[in-house]
Order: sequence, then structure tokens, then C-alpha cells
Amino acid sequence: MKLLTLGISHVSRKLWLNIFIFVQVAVIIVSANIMVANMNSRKLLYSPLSYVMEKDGYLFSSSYDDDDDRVRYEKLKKAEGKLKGNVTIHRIYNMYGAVSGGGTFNAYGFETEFYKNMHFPLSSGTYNLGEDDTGYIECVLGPNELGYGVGSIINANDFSGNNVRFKVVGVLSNPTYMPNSSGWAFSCDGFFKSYGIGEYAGSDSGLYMYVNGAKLKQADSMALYDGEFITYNRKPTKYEYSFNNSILAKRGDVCTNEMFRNNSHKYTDSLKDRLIPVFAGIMFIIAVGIISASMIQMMSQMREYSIFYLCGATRAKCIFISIVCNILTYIGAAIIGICVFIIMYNSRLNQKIGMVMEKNNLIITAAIVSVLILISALVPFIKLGMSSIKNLLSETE
Amino acid sequence: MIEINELNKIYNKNKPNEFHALHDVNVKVEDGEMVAIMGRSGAGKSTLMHIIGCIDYFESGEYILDGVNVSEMGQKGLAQLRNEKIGIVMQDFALIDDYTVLENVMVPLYFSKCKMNTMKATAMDCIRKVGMEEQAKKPVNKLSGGQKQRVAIARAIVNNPSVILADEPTGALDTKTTEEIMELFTELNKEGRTVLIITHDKDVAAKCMRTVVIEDGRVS
Repeated sequence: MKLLTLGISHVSRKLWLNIFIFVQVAVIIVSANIMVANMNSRKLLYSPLSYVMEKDGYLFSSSYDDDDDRVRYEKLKKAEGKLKGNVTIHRIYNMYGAVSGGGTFNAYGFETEFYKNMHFPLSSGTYNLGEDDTGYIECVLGPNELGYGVGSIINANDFSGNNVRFKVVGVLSNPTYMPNSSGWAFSCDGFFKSYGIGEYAGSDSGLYMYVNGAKLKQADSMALYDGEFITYNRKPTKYEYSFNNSILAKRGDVCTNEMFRNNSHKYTDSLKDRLIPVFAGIMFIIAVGIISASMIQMMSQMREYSIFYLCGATRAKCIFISIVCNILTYIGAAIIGICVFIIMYNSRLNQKIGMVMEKNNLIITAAIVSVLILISALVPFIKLGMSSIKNLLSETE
Repeated sequence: MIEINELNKIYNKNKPNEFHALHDVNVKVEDGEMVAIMGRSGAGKSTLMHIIGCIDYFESGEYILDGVNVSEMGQKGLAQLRNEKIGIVMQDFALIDDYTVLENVMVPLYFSKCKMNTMKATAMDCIRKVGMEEQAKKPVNKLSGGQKQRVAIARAIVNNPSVILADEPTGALDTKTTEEIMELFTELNKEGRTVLIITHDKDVAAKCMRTVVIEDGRVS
């Protein structure tokens, strides 16, 4: 308790130096968290599709030669029927239409496996989008100003005039991720770029929904959107692979999973090329400032520790006092840094670059604080161990 | 009792600038004595004082303090000795500049068994004893040399040690202040404490019971 008091009182000595270090550490923590949160947001776009990306296969998008969705769908099914090898079709559905009482809806249907890895932030509810027949099509709704929330029932008619009933089980947070284009950009380059991050527009824009594709299929009339993933359940032979490539290429645009995966990694890893050097530069400059200020502080503390030593302290007690003092400074800075980051997270910056908070934000913060505390404890530990008290007193006179 | 037997101290051992500071030194100080240690600059006075104060090491020999062989003690034991049995007054005062008088005097109490709620009162008693009560809340960097020396003495006695070591305590002080400081040491000695003072000043040495002279690392 006495040593704790002594350590705490140290914070108020050399107050301006401690404030300087405090601010620098807070800035580093904010910068690191922004960087990590941005990396998280990019990985977020990839994770729902990671289960198909792990296998050999294709992203297939049928051609737009025929305007009629049904004709396109029939052609697609014909092409699928000709495929060789043991394949699984991961179809992506789309339905659009009018909401009873006003407005439009646009529903995108993926399979259950997709939603298991879906982590776009929700303001309420869950991604519990199963296939069971409940009499409704469960949906995760985009933010809206029409008053729809978890539990709401939405009566609508598809483009053919058939009635469909949706039940809201989750609502996306605002700002949110949603495709900027009129639909999915099913090309290797365009997929992730098609995602915008922004505030959901008002009531004029219609309702944006994620649903289970199997439920859309159950509806009497549905539109198959022009895309699907095809994965091989066992490694295809060379013949099967080239045959299937040629069949699909005749019917539309084909991109292999390998290309898609590499492109996705390029997207998620593009941060390394652009953002990390910038942040690394900022953090280096700030780190130099912190180290310089910390060295000044430590040298002045060495004088005190040598006097403590003279008065009967052991090396362990001096290091304990140093750690207490630095813990207060660094943890305090971390708390302020996290608070500032949370403010920025809820600001327009999130719409500009996209940020998602995950466990690794806490991990990076804890790592920075731990390293700083370790360094600040290491210097007195080494210094006090190397010299006699007499030498320390004369060195720090 | 302080007992030094065949003690040797070598600086920079096995290096080109090796220096044998103390050669087979034998010193015995009985309880309650007030002893002056004199000698020319570089004779080894401060070196001997630092070894007695457990703030420096020695290469060979024996150092026994109140029946305990200090040479066989670990760091924890030596720290306890410095805290409980020995009070050290350094030549440059060794005070923490941005602490107040009270805070400086309280430092040894943080590492002692003294309870937290009695620390302040204990420190104030010592501050009163050295006549610095009025300046208790003043930062020490605002004090004169004589005042700083008083604070250093107050800190040295706050844990009620049986031995007080003072390295040139009056070296930088004027005559009047020197007398005041020596009065303090005499008073502390009268209380039963053993006092060792390193000094160049013959007047200071005259106030002590006896003088130990060191020349070229040897007691003459």
C-alpha cells in the first residue's frame, strides 16, 4: 500500500512530461485501433464467402443477353445440368417488388452457411436466417425510416404481383455495408469495390433485405439473380475442370475461386500497401517522442531510485514503484485513446473508410500498453542491477 | 559495534585502470562512539564509509555489524540494514529536489515497517529535532546548504538507526552552520547512536571521541 502510494504520487512529479507521454500514447492507440478496425471491416466483407472460397470452383454470372429473368434462369439450369464432377451450386437469389402501404423492397438470398459467417454489425436482432418453413421469409433489414424493426411483418408483392410476407429478425446498423451498384458486381475486381459504407438513405429508397435463399425459392415466383458459386466437393480431374470451364464460359462470365480468393486477399490486404505505411510513419514519429520523453523521465527517476536504494529500498521495490507510475500513465492514456476511437468510430470517418471493432482492437491496445510498461520497467531493472548505489548516486548527481 | 577485518576494496578489478582503494583495513567502533575519519583526498575515507553503509561492495575481508556478518548478506538483507540500522548523510545531501522537506524525510519510512498513518507524525518529529519545522512543506531545492544538511540528517534518523554515517557533512557549510550541524550530531550521539564522520576539518574531528586516519587505503 505504501509503495503503491509512492508510485501514484510519482505521476504528479514532472507533470508536463507525463502529460506529453500520455497524449502521445493516446494518439498511438487511436491510430492503431483505426488501422485494425479498417482491416477488420475489409475482412468482414470476405468472411461470409470464406466457406466457398476454401474450395475449388467458380463464381459464375450468366450473360445479360436475355432480359427475361426466367429465360436466363432456365439457361443457367441447363448449363448446371451439363457440369461434370461432384459439384455443389451455391445460388444467390434476388427478389424485388413493392411493399404494401408504400415503398419497394430488394431482397438478396444466400444459403444458411453464408449467414453463419455473416458479421456485418446489427443494431438489433440476429442473423438467424434458417430454412425452416415458418410461414414467413425471415429477413435482416437495412436501417429504415419506415418504422420497421425486429418483429415487424412486411407484406409485399414481388415483381409478378405475388404476395410475400417477410418477418424482420435483425436490423443492420447505420452506417452499414451494402452494394453500391444495382446488384452484386459479380466479377473478380468489382465484388468488394461494389460495397459502399454509408448511412442508409431515407424512406424513398426502399427496404434492403438479407434473406435465406431457400425461403425465396419457396415463394411462388422468384427471380434468380445472375450469379452463383459452384464448388467441387472433390478435386476435379483436368478433363472435368476444362469441360466445365468451357460450358460455363459459353453461358456467361466465369471467374475461378482461386482468382476470386486472391483478389479478395488483395483487397483485404491492400491496406498493407496503402494505409499501414502511413500509420507506421505516424506511429514511428510519435514513438520517437514517447521514447525521448520516457528516457528523460526515467533518468530523473533513476536519481530518485538511487536515493530510495540508499534509504533501504530493494531493486524489486524500485521497479514496482516505476511500474505503478507507468501503469497509471499508460492505462490512463489507453482509456482516453479507446474513448476517442469510439467517438471516431461513430463519426463520419466510419463512413469514409469503414471500421469494425473486434477483439483484436483490445488485443492491439493491450499489446501497446504492455510493451510500453515492459520497456519502462526494463530500464530501471537493468540500471539498478548493474551499478552499486554509490555509482548510481554519483552518476545521477 | 562495527568491526572491519582485513577489508580490501579494488576498483576496476582486472582492468588496465585497476585501483586498490583499501588495503587490509581493520577498524573497530564500539557502540555509542563518535569517530572522525580523516585523511587526504583519495585516501579511501569515502570508500570505507560507503562499505560500512552497505552502498558499495568489497572484494575481501570481513564486515560485522552488531554481531551480524554483513559480507554474507544478500541484497534484501543489506537493504534492511540500510533502512533500519544505518542512517547515511551524504556529502551532496542526496535529497530529491522536487520533494518537500517532509516528503524527503518520509522516504525511508516507505520501506520500513512503520504504519502508513503514523509516517507523517514520525517524520515531523525528526524534522522538529533538526529545527526545520517551519520549512516542512517547502521543496528542498529552495533551501540553503545548511538547511538541506539538516533535512538529510532528519531523513537519516527517521527510522531510529543505531549507526549514523556522515560523509563530509560540513564540507560546504560556513563556520556557524558547521557548528550547528555538529551540535546536532553530538546530540544524536548522546542519545546512544554510533556516529562516524568523514571530515577534513580538524575542528570537527576535535568534537569526536577519537580519530581514525586513513592514508593510501590503509589505516595508520
